Amino acid sequence: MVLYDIRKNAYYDSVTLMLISKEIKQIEGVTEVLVGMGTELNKELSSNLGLGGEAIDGLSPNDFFIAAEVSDEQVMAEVVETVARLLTQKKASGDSVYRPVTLSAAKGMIPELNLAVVSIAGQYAEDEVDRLLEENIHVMLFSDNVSVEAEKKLKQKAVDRGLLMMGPDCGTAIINGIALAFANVVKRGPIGVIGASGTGTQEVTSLIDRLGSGVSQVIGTGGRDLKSDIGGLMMLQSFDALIADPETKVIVLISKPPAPEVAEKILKKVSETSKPVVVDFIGGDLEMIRKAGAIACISLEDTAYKAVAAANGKSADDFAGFEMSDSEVSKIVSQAISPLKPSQKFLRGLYTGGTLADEAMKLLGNQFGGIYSNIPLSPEYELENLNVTGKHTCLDLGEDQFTVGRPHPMIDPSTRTERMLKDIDESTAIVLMDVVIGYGSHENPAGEVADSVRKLKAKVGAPVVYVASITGTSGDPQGFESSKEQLEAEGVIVMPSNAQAVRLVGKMMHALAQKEA
Amino acid sequence: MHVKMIASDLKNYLTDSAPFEARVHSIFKDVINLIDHQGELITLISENKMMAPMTLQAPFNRSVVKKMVSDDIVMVTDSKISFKRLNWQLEFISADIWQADFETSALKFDSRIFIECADIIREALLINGDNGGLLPLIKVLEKQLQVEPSHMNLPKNNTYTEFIEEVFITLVNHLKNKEYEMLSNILPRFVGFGPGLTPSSDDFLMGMMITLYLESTINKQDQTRIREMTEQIYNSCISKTTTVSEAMLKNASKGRIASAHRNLIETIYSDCGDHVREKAIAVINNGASSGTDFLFGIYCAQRILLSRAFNR
Amino acid sequence: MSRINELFKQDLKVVNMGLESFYNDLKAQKVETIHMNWRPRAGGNPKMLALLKRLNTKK
Repeated sequence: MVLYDIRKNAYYDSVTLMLISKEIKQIEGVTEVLVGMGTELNKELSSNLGLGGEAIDGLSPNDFFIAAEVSDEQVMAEVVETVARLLTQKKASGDSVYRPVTLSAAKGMIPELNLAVVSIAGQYAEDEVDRLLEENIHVMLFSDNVSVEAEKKLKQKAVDRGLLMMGPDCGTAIINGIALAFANVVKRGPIGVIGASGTGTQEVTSLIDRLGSGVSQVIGTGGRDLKSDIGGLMMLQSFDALIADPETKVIVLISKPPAPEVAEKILKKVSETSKPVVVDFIGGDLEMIRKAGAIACISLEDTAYKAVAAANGKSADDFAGFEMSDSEVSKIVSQAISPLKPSQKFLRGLYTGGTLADEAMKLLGNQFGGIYSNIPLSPEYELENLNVTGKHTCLDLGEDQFTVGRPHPMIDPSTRTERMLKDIDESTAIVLMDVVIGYGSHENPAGEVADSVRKLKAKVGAPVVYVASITGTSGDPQGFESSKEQLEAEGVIVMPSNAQAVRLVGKMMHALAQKEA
Repeated sequence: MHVKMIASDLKNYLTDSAPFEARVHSIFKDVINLIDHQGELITLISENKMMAPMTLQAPFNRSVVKKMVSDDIVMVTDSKISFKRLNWQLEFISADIWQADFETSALKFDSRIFIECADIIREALLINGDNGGLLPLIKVLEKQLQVEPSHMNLPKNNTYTEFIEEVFITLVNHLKNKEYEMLSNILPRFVGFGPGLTPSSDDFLMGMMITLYLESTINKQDQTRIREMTEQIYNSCISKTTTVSEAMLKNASKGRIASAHRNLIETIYSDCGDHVREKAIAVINNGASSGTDFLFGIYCAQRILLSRAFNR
Repeated sequence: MSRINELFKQDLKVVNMGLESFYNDLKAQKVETIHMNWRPRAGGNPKMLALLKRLNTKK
């Protein structure tokens, strides 16, 4: 059998390479070995020696490879160990550093490593995270496809060691003012946020920034933390940390409705702190939250409003309206609806952020005869074969059925672009969208949406209404204002939050129904 | 931090092209390679290393190297290099200039001295050289060029030399017969081959090129053809070998090589003498087999020049 | 005090394993960070991984 060890764009000095070659040759059971850079002739030689293969064919001259023919797996393991040891040894002595392959080499380069961002394939994540926690390094685990058992084990280890283990499937965090993975540039301030939902957390923190306040820390837990299997281990752990954190004056918790026994545990902690606690269990039981002495919220936007009010020592009523005046809203609604043709009946929600799609459906409710979705509020509205004809729909384009073989639509907007061109036609009245900017996201998601709208105007012979909200801040690399301008230039109505965009759409749907009647 | 020395070719290049942004390409204990917007490799060396083309030397230490990562952004102007993330600056306005081009006026080519010199280099290769690269090809080289056999044992073929032997023979014959235009057929089957970060065949070509280049300069013979030939060698290697190797071949094709190597070549083209051996060994001690392969390239060129001289 | 609260008082020093864009974003925010040339241990072969673990525990 042939073993390959390939390092793309890796440079080791010749002495190291020779040493590896010599040491491997001496291992009993190694019959042939070639160590070198992936030039055409070196590749050809490896094939001549019977060491060729797909792994080698794809190399470029700046890739380093080891190919070894070994007698059995035991020998193979020894070779792998030997190479790792030799390369690490070299790294530690500072002889050849490029990109470390092992954690100890990375620590050799930055000895005080205190956080790891892990986004490798899920099946390998458990081992890597376990080793990071052993080294007392806090972890943000972006990878998904990690088993519940592994998550529980890792989080228990993190709790025992007083560490963060954000994730798996944790997309958003802001630690010490630094945006990690998908996060916005939010001013620093008195509000500490713990979120089990990535885009939900982005929406709340962006609005906090736009309302003039800021965040102390934003901790992600991963979507499963508040299920009974995990028992809220990371939310509870982070809650304690924010309670103890002198910079945090207000604590915000964001999650889909938790398992009841987990909700109980979390709400019990509210009584252990004098800091105001603002809770959005998206669409969950508000009364239970209020009873526990926490501030309950009706939307992600409302969560931001209430957190900022609490930070200013005030209380706030539920924010269920608009920032603009009622007359302005009515004007926008009638201007948008009056040109619509009788054939234009349906709503198309096309979301890149799952929590925002979920929020949209919850806020709209059943008032228009139910909204079909790939993440429906109730099973009867499950969208079959993604066939949208003749229905109101709201899609979470970040779900697996859309992302097989390509990046999440927040990174690669083409999923939505394709969907828009497919799903929007003469029967479409209103299109509702999110535009999530910030670190991690595509370099100009608003521009991509604007392009699609322009194309659709030419393609669809009816005046479709486009409503969007932007999750982001003016500090984000893409810029809130410039994103807004690009959308408005194509006639997209840009609302200040997802909740307001949804409410506006609700009013439009009512107006449409009245028009029909 | 102030740079101690800067190579003249680098200084000229920066005067023409700076300011620009570059990035860190690769990092070793005493060497940091930067790659710029045009794909040029710029090398920083510590005081433990000797000067080379496109290089600057500064007293940096390991702590800097350890913090550096590849792709770190570097701002390059005609007076300084700034590593933004590390807040580290290298100023070279007052640095000494290292002349990258050979001063050839005092050099000479004397075939009698040249034979003597080739014998010493041969001995150094066989006693001190590393057999892991192309050196075992010395046997077929000497056979092709009818060098008188010696009592010393020649190294046995290795995997690499077995593979490349035929191509090597053709290459040597083309060079011997000055069939330079034929090289373009054979070079794609030769460059970028062998172990190491700079594959052996490239080290060999560098040694061979620089020796022939200087001979033509000193004897004022075939200068245009030789320059075309070295340029052709460089062109043949573009994207066929590692970035580091490509940059070194580019410099060598213009007659520019590192100072350890240059010290030896200067000795070959003067009085030879006792220093040759120690300078040859200094070259051999570079890298794993790189130094040996470079020296073997020099030796090959020496034998080719000598065989031509005797046929005349 | 938990290590989390200690972290809140330190400068972040981040090791990134996986998507390089996360590393670039950190660099853009002037965070001290290092991108690991991560690859599956033992080429991702599960049998090999098990074997490696066994070898390591033997030592």
